[in-house]
Order: sequence, then C-alpha cells, then structure tokens
Amino acid sequence: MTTETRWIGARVPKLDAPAKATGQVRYLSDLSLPGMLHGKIRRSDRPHARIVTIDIGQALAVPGVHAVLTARDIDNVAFGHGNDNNAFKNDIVRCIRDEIAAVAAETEEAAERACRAIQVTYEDLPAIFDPREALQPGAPVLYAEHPDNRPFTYSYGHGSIEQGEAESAFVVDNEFELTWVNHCCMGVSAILASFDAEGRLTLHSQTQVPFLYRRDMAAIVGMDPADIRVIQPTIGGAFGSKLDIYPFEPIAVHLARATRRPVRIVFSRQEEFRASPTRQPAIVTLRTGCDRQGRLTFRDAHVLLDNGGHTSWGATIPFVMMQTVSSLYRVPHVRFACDVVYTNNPYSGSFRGYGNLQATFAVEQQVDMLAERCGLDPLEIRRLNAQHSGEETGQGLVFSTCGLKDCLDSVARQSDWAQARSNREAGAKLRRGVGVAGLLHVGGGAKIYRSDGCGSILSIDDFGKATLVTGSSDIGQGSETVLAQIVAEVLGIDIARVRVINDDTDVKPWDVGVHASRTSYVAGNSALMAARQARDKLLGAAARSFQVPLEELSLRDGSVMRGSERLTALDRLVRSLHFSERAELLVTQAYFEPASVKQDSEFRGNVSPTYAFAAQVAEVEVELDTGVVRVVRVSAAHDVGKVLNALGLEGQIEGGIVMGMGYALSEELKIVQGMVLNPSFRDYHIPTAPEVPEIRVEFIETLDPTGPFGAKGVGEAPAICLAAAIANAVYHATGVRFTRLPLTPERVLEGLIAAGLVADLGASPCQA
Amino acid sequence: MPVKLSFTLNGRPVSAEVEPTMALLELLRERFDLTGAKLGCGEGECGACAVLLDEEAVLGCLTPAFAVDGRTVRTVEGLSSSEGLSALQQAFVSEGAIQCGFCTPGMEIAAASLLRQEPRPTPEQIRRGLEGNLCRCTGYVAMIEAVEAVNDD
Amino acid sequence: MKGGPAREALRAVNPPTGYFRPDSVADALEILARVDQARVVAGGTDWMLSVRTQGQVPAAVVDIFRLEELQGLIRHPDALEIGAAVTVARLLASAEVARDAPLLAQAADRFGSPPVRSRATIGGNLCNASPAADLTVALLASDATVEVASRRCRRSLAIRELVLGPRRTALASDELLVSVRVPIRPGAVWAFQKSGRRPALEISAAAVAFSAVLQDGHLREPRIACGAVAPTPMRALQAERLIADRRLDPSLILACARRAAAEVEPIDDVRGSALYRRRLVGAFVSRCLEGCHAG
Ligand SMILES: Cc1cc2nc3c(=O)[nH]c(=O)nc-3n(C[C@H](O)[C@H](O)[C@H](O)COP(=O)(O)OP(=O)(O)OC[C@H]3O[C@@H](n4cnc5c(N)ncnc54)[C@H](O)[C@@H]3O)c2cc1C
Ligand code: FES
Ligand code: FES
Repeated sequence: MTTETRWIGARVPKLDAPAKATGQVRYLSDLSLPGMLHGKIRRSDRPHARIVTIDIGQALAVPGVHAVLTARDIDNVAFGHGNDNNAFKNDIVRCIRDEIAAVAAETEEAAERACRAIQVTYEDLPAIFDPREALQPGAPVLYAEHPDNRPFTYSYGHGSIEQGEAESAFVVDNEFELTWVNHCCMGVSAILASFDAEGRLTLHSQTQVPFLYRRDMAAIVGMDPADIRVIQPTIGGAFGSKLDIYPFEPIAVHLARATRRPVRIVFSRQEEFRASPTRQPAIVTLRTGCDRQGRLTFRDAHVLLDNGGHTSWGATIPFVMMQTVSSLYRVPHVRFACDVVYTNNPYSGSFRGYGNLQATFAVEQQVDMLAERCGLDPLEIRRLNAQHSGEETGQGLVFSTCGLKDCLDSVARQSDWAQARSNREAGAKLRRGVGVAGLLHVGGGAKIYRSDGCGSILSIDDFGKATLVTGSSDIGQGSETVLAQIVAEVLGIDIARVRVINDDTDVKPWDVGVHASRTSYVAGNSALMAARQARDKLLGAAARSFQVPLEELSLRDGSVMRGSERLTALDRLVRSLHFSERAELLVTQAYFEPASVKQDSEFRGNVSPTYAFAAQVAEVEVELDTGVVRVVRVSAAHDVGKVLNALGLEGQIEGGIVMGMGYALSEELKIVQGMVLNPSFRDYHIPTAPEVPEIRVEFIETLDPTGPFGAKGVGEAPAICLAAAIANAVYHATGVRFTRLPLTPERVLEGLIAAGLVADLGASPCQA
Repeated sequence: MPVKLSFTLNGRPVSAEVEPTMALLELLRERFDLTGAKLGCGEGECGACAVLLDEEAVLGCLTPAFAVDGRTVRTVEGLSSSEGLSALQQAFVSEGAIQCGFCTPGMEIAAASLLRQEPRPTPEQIRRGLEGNLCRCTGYVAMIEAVEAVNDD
Repeated sequence: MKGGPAREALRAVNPPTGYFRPDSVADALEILARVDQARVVAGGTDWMLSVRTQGQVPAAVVDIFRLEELQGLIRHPDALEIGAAVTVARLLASAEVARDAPLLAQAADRFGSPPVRSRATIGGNLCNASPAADLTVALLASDATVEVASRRCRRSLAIRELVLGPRRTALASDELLVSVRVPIRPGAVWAFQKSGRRPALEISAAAVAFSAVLQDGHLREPRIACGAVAPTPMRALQAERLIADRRLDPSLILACARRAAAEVEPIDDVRGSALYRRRLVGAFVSRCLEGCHAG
C-alpha cells in the first residue's frame, strides 16, 4: 500500500462546487426542451375507494391542454417490488397518493387547472390505517391475492432463544414505534421525457440506479431497453428516495408518447410530502437478555411494517434490520421475525440507513436498559460485547476489520464521558443528559442482485488529461470527487486534470446504482483497477523507451520519474504511444465485483465485503416545563477504513448527524385516516442552522484489506444511531424512557408529567 | 392590467411587464432565465428562492414582482464577477459547504445579506442569519464555517 | 435550454386588473374608497400565500410597502408611534423599540426568518388577524392602539377592537391601518415566550407576552396576552386579576399559571393538541412571572 499520498486523505473540495456556488448548475426543474409540455397528475382524494367514473371532458376543454390520460389509455403494466403498482390505478385507489389521471399542457397553470377539472366519482371501501388491524381476522382486504394483507414475511434465527433465556440474568422487553419520515430533498421529484424521431426515449431523470431503471422502465412502457437513454442531471438530494421507479415517471413517458412532445413533471412541495416515498414506519417488539456480567445472551425481535397501499423498497428493509438485531455486538442467540402488511396509508421507499435507524433505535436503547440492570456504565457494556476484527457473526457477516471498540473509546474521550455522566442538573427547569449508541452497517454494498459490480473506462488524452467514465452516479454525496482523487493519486497528476463522466447511460458502463453505501468502495475499487492498468501501461511504455527497469519508475507531478529524476512528461509519453507504430491508445477498462455473496434463503452469508461501525455520544438538554429537547453536542467516531477525502467525509457525517437529529426530535408526517396533515416545511420541521449541535468527528482508520486504499463506505452510517443516543441521553437526564419517535416537546412533556417529574399546568384547576 | 417595471438586475438596467400576483422568483426564472434561485417550497419556509433586494435578502417566492420597481436586484448569478467567485462563494467551495448544491444560491444570498449588516458576525449570529434557509445535505456546519472564514480574511 | 420553476405554485389563476402604488396616505385612501374590491398589500408575506393557496385574488392591489408616511418610528413622550409599513427587520434593528417596546423587540427576534422579516410589516401582522400573530400578542400585552384612516374618518382602536376573529378585522374595505401606538411604561417588567425548539421560523403553537409595573414588590396592572390559543390573541384576564397588586410567591405563580392555562380556549391541530397548548401557556406564564420575581 502506498505510504505517502498526495490526493488520498486530503481535503479536496467537490469538483462541481464552483458551478454550484455560482448558480450555473441546472437541476431538472431548471431544464426545458423546445416544445416542452408540462405534466400534472391527478391523484386520489380517498384512501380506499373504487373509482366509479372519471370524466375528463372539462379537462380536455381547458386551453393549452394537449392530452389527458387515464388507465384506459395505456397498456397499464404492473410494476414494483410487489408487482402491485401501476402508472394509473385501474379501478381501485388504495392510498391518497394514487394516480388516477394526468394532463400535459403548455403551461403548468393550464395543466393544474385541467387536473382540477377532472371529475372523479368514488365508492368508498372500508379502509385500514393501523397495521395491527390489518392482521385481524375480518379486516378489509386490499388485494385479493393477499387475503391476509401480508405480502411479505421474514424470519431469521441463529442459536436458540430458549437457551439464551436460560443463560440470562436480566431481560428487557419493549415495544418501539417509529413513524413516517419524508426525505425532504431540497430538489423535489421531477422527470423530463422526450422521444426522438426514431422513437428512442431520452429520460432526464433523478434516478440513483440508472441501469436498473432503464430495464424496469422499458418493461413498464413497453420498449426495448436499448432504446432508452437515461441522463442524470445534477440532483437536489436523493438519500435513497430515487432508488425505485414511481408512477410519475412512466406517466411522463406516456404523456410524451401521446403528445409527441417532450414532457416535464415537477412536483410541488405539497405533492412531494404527500406523494413521494417515506421512511418505513415500524412497530418493533424487542426482548434482549444478558448475563450477570452484562454479556448479551439473546435478542428476540418482531417487526410489524406498515407497507401502505403499494410496495416499494420500504418492504425490504427487514434485510438490514435483521443484521443489526443479529450482529450489532456479539449475540449468541437471535430470532427475528417480520410481517409486512398492507394498509391504506402512503407507502414507503428506501431512505438512507434502510431500516437501520428503526432497528438501532430499539436495539441500542435496550443495551442501555440492560447496562442499568446489571450496574454497568453504558460504554462498558458496549465495550464488553463489541466484536473484534476477524470475527464472523451468527448470521455469517465477516468483519474483516472492526473498529467498533476504537469508536467507543474515541467518543468516550471526545465527550469527556465520565464527567458528562455525573452532571445532570442544569437549573430548576432544565436537565442535562448524555447518551451513547453504536451502529453496524454494510460498508461495501450489499449483494442483493446477482451482481453488485461497477464498470469503469479510463482514457488519457494526448494532453495528459484523464477522463474516467464510471458506471456509478453522484447524488450530491461527492463520489465524483473521490473517484477523481483515486485516479489522480495513481497517475500522479493534478486532480484538475481528471474529469469524471457519470451521467449518461449511452456512455457509461454498467453499475448497480447508488445504495448500500457502496459507491466509494465498489466504484472506487473499479476506478482504482482501471487507473492501475493505465499506470502499468504508461510505466511499461516508459521502461521500454528509456530502457530502464520497470521497478524503478513511478508517476508523479504529471511526469514519469526514475527516483527523483524526471524522465518525461506524461502527455508526451501518451502522444508517443498514439503516434508510434504500436498506435496505442491509452484507454483501460475495469469491472469490479465485490467478494460478497448473496444470502441464502435463511438470510445467512456475508452480504457485504466490509462493514462500517460507529459510535455517537449525544449531550442533550431537556426543558422540563415545555418538553423541548435540545442536542447540545454530538461526538462521533466512525470506522471509515481509510479517509479518502476528509472534507467530503466530514460533510457526509455532519449532514447525517443533523438528519438523525431531525429523525429523533421533530420529523414526522402526521398521517390520520390516510391523509397527510402536515405537507409543508411549516409543519414538518427539518433542523435549521441554529439548532445544530456542536459536532466533533473522529475517523477511525482500520484499513480494510479490500477497500480502495483501505476505505469503506459510510454514506448512510452517520444518520443511523443518533436517535438512540438521544433517547438514551434523555433517559439519563430525566429517568423517562421514550420508545416512540420523534421526541416532540408535546410527547416528552406528556412523559415527564406521567412520570410525576413535573406538575401538569394544563390540568383543569378543579382537578389539580 | 400588467404592471410595468424597471429595475437594476445584477448590475444591468432591465424592464418587464408583470401581473400583480406574479412572484419575483417567477419573474427572474422565466423572463430573465436566471435559474440560480430555486423554488424549494413556495411558502417562505426554505429560503432556496432568496435574492438580494437593495442588498437585503428577500424571498423570491413571497415577494411580489412589482416590489422591485425602481430598485436593485442581485441574484446568485450576480454575486460572482468576471474575475471569478466572490470571497464568500470561494469559502463555500473550500469549506465543503456545498453538497447537492440546491440550497447553495439561497444560502449564499442569506450569508451575503448578513455580512452586509454584520461584517464580523459571531458564530451565533451566523446561525441566526441562516435560519431561514433549509439544507438537507450538509448539516450546516460547513456553511457556518464558510461564513466565518470570509470574515477571517 | 431554458428554465422555469414549478409555476403552478407561484401564480394565481385570474390576476387582478389593477395595481396602484400611491405616494401618500391620502391617495391610498382615495383609491380604497373608489376602487371596488381593492386590497392593501404591504410586504405580501401573508398575501402572496393566500393568493396561491386560497386563490383569493382581489380586483386591484394597493401597494403600500414603500409609502413614506407609513415608515415612521417616532418617539413621543408617552408612546412610541410605529408606521404600519415598518418591517419586522426594522423593529429588530431599532434601539427605540428595544428600549421602549421590548415585547415587540423580543417577538420580532423570534419571528419568521431574516428574509421574511425584511418584508413582513407590523401592519400586515395585525391586519392578517392570525390567531398566532406574534407581534399582535406583544402589542396586546403592551396595551397598544392603532390608528385607522379612511376618506370618511380617522379612528383609534384597541388591539382587541381591531382583531375580531381568524382573518377578520374591524377594518372596513376603505380603511387603512396607518400606525400603531405603543404606550411607554416606565419601570415595567416584560417577558415574551414562544413555543418551539427553534429560535425562529416557527409558527407559534402558543405564545405569551407579559408586562406589569413592579412597585415595591407588587405587580401593578399586569397584562398577560396569549397567542395561538383562541380565535384571536387574547388577554388572560382572570389570571391577571389573581396577581394584580399582589406580591409574587411560588404558590401564587403556580396558581396564576394554572388559571391562565384554564382560561385560554385552544383547539387541537397539527401544531399541537389543545392540552399541550394549555400546558405551554401555564409554563410560559410561570416563566414570565418567575423572571420578574427573580429579577
Ligand atoms: C415563512 C413565514 C414565517 C412567518 N413567521 C411568522 C411568525 O413567526 N410570527 C408571525 O406572527 N407571523 C409570521 N408569519 C406571517 C407574516 O409574515 C406576518 O403576518 C406579517 O407580519 C405580515 O405582514 P405583511 O406586510 O407581509 O402583510 P401582507 O401579506 O402584505 O398583508 C397581510 C394582510 O393584511 C392586510 N394589510 C396589510 N397592511 C395593511 C394596512 N396597513 N392596512 C390595512 N390592511 C393591511 C392585507 O390586505 C392582507 O390582508 C410568517 C410568514 C411566513 C411566510
Ligand atoms: S421557495 Fe421561497 S422559501 Fe421556499
Ligand atoms: S447542499 Fe443539498 S440541500 Fe444543501
């Protein structure tokens, strides 16, 4: 491994930052094409109803309208992970976001007006809004194919719960409740579809999985995938929300086809809150045991997931939840069962952390409860149960490197843990508390498809500029910059001489997409392979032409070096290859497939080549009279394998921490009877600048043997465990356990009053 | 009856005719093709649409277009000059304050407005100065540092 | 390629036909008297939203934001006179307001966000008549009055007389709110409390403004105004009576807080349940009183 690096580990600003800083970058909502029409979707007003009639007459009469489509006008192919979604709903709507019709018009106002002019009559059907009710006998049925309303179940185990119970001195048992959360990407959902003269389709799309998207879209709209080109303009955030195809996307294609004009659909913010996928709500029933010394003995989890009216990736988060239940700390006996049930609520998709926030919230609070029962400090019990590098867990995850203990030590130091634990009172109406939580997440993708690979093509032109065409996508997280750093490092050139192309499926090679924290690891390794081949080619050519031993040569500062002697400039060498009788281009290609395995039918196997670990300590203040919880400081330590870009990594971790804080304290779509009551930033609060705690971050470098330069992926990790750490801190401050998120002032005050900590000033004076 | 407006836009005199209900944001994006300011919510809650009106930040989505008549408007496109990025923009770049970048134009406008009123803001003042601008990517830390870095120079 | 935002959120369906920017109050009143369904617009922060979300488009717009006569911040011997078009940003920057109308300064500090404050006006806050209007709550506890003018007459109203219900004021269609008079209260104690974790950018789930004169330990003429807990900002008169002319002690503070919590009339909505709002009123009243008890 290289010892001295120029680009790897440096603080490198994102390559596209200057264009973004000046407002030059065009996002999808900034793009238009000549003749472009605006698409708008008419959605259901009812959570569960039969559509009796749809009258589009008045809509068609609105000036500027070019097309109004409903299910009848298209070949309405079913799609989605549960094959239970359609572009337009045929006869039954199952949640309020359901698409009934769509309009393409010359202006957005006309499209909007026409949408409102569509007359729909419904016949209401009995609806389910509570996932517990969905499983009751006699509950209304959403899909005849699933008379029990349970399209998916998961069950996993290792060891024996009975034995685990027998070995336990203490057992805790709780129900945790997690709610809907919106991604709140600052750029709303959008798409631009256009056909060329030969019927080929170009999609300007926000997808984070362009190749799978192309395949799925082709099936939905009845095309040959080869005729679909996906262009990915800069996007205003994704966080997992663009991992699936949603109905508005094929709708745009159908509208473009019907009107033979480019059609763009851009959501309004309200629509984004109502009709974009959410984080999956879950009811987690968990029991954990430990022996007298605090060694964990077993975990027994049941998860009830509210799937909503249709299925998207939210239904698959048990894959990740069970990893945390089985493998966060050493647990000899584990049982995990999950029911995914249909309701008439909005449905959920994938969201940074993919179920792990929900699982970790439960698991890490119970670790604290057990610590208290056996008289251990929360950090102590975690150190006692944390795994070492090289361990394999009961589920078959192999921790090639594991920095969990180092992370715990680091946060103890950073937060001055012992001191902070002993200091709770802060005033008559203010309490302080400090809490910790750890996490485990995949760190190099997850093999859920046959391939988890990524292709790269690298060329060096005769001016010594390198162009990396990578299959991977940049969704704002900065992978483009990391890949450029890798190439610059290996080729010994300035990063300004590296260009990364990652936004066009007509150009780039296959990649699974951005998910499972895989891009730095998988695309990084792929770029590294291509760059090393290019380096070998260059050095080989130099060795031949200068008649020097290959081992003595290296690339540095844009030149071929023999020790400290500069033999030739890189561009000259490339030109000499181009123009020599060998007529050789400097183009290399690589395909990297991680050494992970697809899990067997019992969910066993090493699904990722490496794993990310972290610990976070939250220090909070609780206002006893209002229930307001403020996070004052967060100390985080992340096992990142190796720091590739310190600036980018800090940004990822800070952003994740603040997102995790929002999840813990305020974010909640209020959904009652299937209706979203707070579809705006006014009533759905994501954190703002003044609320941000002091954040300290330390990187733990465990140098993963298979990661590029030793790196692991950490894109998702920072958001995962903070809610648990905050809940533990609130308990430390007040002695009240909160098992339901978010910790809104109202909910916290309710808990404090119920625990008798403060008087109820709202009770009527007669009672008091 | 459309309203006739003349104003200075990024240093240039311009004119336009607008309906009284048109928002400034729409005027800038549609008529002048200045797409730097974004529509993030249309409700005043996110700050992505912020622009400078007489060097003070206002929300493009809630400010009527007619309000700019006879005044000076600067958008993110007008923050940089032909020499390149402004010191503030450069600080946003080098402190890592930009991820997806969607909030960046509004954030820079809010920061520019703050720095005009308060050339050497404290970290607390910076946080309050950015409180009307939402960012989902960065956690704000790098932005606060970027604004601090400007006043260090 | 050319750009364009999601405009549907930005535009009214039937635009108004008239736009007026009068140079004087007299002209403004003339227009209001003559033009049917003319609507006053100040900063537009409430108005633009209502145009978009409720499609309420007036026949004509009377733009008063820059009207010179409405920009005053004048210190009279007994009162601070504030022009209707003075922005929240100016309230926040003003040393007079900080000194002579501290409730207004505190409410302004917790109001909206900087780009909202640079457009939102004090007159707009009053005339919009939101139950959660923070400046209105502060003005109510300050015993402020407003000057209202029309071509017909000029009159002065108490806040309670101006704000009649949600989005409903006593203004006739030809009337303009011209200024606000905030009496100066020497020796008074003040406190403003508002819900939320954030310092600002938060619509109040409850707010309390308190003012009283402290005279040898006794509270004279205490005023407790509460926002977002009734159809209009309201005074907690029973709670005020409990503490008037008395010396505060912890049990009296508790009783007063409970009384205020009991007499407000909140409803459940997405920003909080009625019960939580009562609890907040109790908590805020007790904070306000403890503040002046201790100080
Ligand atoms: C993001 C955001 C945050 C906000 N935060 C807060 C907050 O924290 N606290 C709070 O109280 N409010 C808040 N508001 C509401 C709003 O900003 C205030 O009510 C503001 O004071 C309104 O002033 P304006 O000048 O913008 O009113 P406009 O929108 O111009 O007018 C509002 C109404 O008053 C009428 N009107 C205005 N001036 C006069 C006059 N002189 N005479 C007669 N009628 C008149 C108009 O006809 C209209 O009906 C917020 C709004 C937004 C968008
Ligand atoms: S778009 Fe104007 S504040 Fe969000
Ligand atoms: S950088 Fe993405 S929203 Fe701020």
